Amino acid sequence: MRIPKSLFNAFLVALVALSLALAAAPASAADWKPSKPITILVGFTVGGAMDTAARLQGEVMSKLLGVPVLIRNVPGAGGRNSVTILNRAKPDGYTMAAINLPGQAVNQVARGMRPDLRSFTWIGRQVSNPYFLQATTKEGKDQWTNFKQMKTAKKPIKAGITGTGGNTFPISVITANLVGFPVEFIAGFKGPELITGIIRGDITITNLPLTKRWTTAVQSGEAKAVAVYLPERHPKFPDIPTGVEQGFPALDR
Amino acid sequence: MFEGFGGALVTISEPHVLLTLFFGSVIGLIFGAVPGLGGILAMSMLLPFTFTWDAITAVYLFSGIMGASSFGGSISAILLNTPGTPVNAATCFDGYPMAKRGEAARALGLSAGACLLGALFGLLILALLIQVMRPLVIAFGHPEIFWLVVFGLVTTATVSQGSLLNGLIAGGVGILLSLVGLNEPTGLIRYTMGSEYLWDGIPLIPFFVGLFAIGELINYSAQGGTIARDNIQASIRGAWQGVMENFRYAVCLLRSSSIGTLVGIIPGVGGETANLIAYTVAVQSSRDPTSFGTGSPEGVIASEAANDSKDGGALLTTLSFGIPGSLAMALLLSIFIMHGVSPGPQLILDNPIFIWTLLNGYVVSNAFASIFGLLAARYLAIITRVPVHYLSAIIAVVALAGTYILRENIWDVVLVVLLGILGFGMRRAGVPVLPLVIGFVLGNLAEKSFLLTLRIHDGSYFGFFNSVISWILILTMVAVPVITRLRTRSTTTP
Repeated sequence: MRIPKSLFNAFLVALVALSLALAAAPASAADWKPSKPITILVGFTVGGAMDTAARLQGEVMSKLLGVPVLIRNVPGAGGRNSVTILNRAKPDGYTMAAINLPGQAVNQVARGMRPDLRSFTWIGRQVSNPYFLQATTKEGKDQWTNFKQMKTAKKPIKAGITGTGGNTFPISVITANLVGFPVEFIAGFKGPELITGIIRGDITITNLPLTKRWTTAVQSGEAKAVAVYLPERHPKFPDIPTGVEQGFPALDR
Repeated sequence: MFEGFGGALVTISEPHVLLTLFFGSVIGLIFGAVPGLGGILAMSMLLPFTFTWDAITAVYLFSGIMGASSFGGSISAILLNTPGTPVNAATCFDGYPMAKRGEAARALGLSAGACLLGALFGLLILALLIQVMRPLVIAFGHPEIFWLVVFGLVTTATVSQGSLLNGLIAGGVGILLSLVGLNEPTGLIRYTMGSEYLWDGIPLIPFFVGLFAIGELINYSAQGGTIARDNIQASIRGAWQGVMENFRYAVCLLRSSSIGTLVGIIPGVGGETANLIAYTVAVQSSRDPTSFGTGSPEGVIASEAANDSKDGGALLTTLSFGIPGSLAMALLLSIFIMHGVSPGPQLILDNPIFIWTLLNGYVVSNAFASIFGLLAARYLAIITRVPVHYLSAIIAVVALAGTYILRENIWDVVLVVLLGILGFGMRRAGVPVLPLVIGFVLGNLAEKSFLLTLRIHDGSYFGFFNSVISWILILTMVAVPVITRLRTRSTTTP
């Protein structure tokens, strides 16, 4: 499956608004004074990562804009409901949505689902978080330490993913295509199970957000970090090499 | 890790902390008791407000909600046959028959005691195992999860009261219902009949609200009268007796708490599984298995002890790996992160005071909830004496509104009504509900862990048999029904 890279420019989660005012005249957007509450749709249940981010943003937004910002959870169909409901909403700027872009892009490209995501007004990235590729140590300490080794793999490398709707899937597809290694996807893991799966050696590689929570196995030596998708090394994780320095300039985000 | 204990104990004696904790417990009780809502919802709604608080107070608020919501859920399970949250499902099977007998207060007492003791047990295991935890979590892979879940499914045969055939049919229907939607391991979308609504499968909360609350409501309206039919006097002084009964069934309590803790430790398996497995194991190992489903105190203890002990287990995984063992834990971790404390194994060494704050808060809120249960039991039990046509109106509004609020999807409400009709029909036809629930909760998990095990081992079935834990689970699965059969035979033929 090939996925156009243009859809992944925002890469992680993006915040969308259906405001015609914003779309038609971006210059006047700064002067826009909302007069009634704004709703942000979240396509996932209360308490998830996207919901938490939206709630924290809503708090700040309502202070800046002077109107209440309501978070409306419309979970279902892997975040799909937020797209469907946003598409039906009046395009007046009062309805926004936090959309899991990679998952919905897969729906549009692979399953031909509508509406076209490009018809929305995209405000910006909700969470900016680079991903990194983690590999197991169960197949030997010197095995799978860099992309060059993966390129010479004789049989497909087992990549753990949550599902076709999650972020790990498109990231793994793009990496495998650009680096050029054979890959076999094993889907159905929940986030924490990806870590225990790597430590156990059930899967060979996986892609996870570069945060302290997801790097604990690397710090304890039970897994190794192969590469981070950034133009330069991350200041907080200087030991993790970038994909760029391993000779793959397209893997800079 | 014990050095933070003193510091955390000092903070808990401060009035504003106690007040916060009390406030959290009250919210947890209410959100737990209303079907459709839950502790997670309360925690997420309050999260933005705690942004400006100091971290300790915020952690106390959240541990208060977390500690009390499970007991809150058992209140509606016992009094109205409606699990307040999905983790209380198994409490209905014996708690509600007790309420019907007029022993609502005793059942509430049982639940209050089991919640508190289960929570303490889970935390005790946490304190004992925290240093040696990682190997156990790593040892529990997909083959082991598969056998644990199959163990739960097999018990369907032994917990089916009445006709075995009816029980197996109900279990099979439950498994089929659990397979609806997007199957992650294969990427296939099944049995959705072209509807996007069914992509995520049949959602858990509408399933329980429909099957239990609405099914029972139709039943009320058909029968009239009151919930408690006889011996109403017993409800007045039974609560304390119920609490003390936990000690009489200490074996059941300890066993269920161990199961709850173990299930909590395994990532990817949640509380809705813990209470069902603990319940079915309790049925199998009881001296009197036929009393289950008719108001056995052991049933209530098994479900509620497993419920509250699983948080200790989930916390173990959360602390030893820094990855959340459950949704509630994920929210707690986000509070830590908001206040600049990074979760993970280092947390125990760097900031033990946070751990102890969390644990103390959890214990105290459990105690608050249980004391409340004890004091309020006799008043709550009055509900079972209210004519049911008043009750059913209230339940209908609360249950349907609660379901709708959760996802704002009208199809959830339609689903609730359809499942309500199914639940009522099953009761009328004498088909047991428990196997349906077990099949629904465990079926999908069994399939997922089966497929993942096969994929991980390149399609070889040996993957299911190459660990000690797998063999222990297989042997227990075979041995328990055999022992049960032998024991019942020896007691019936003296």
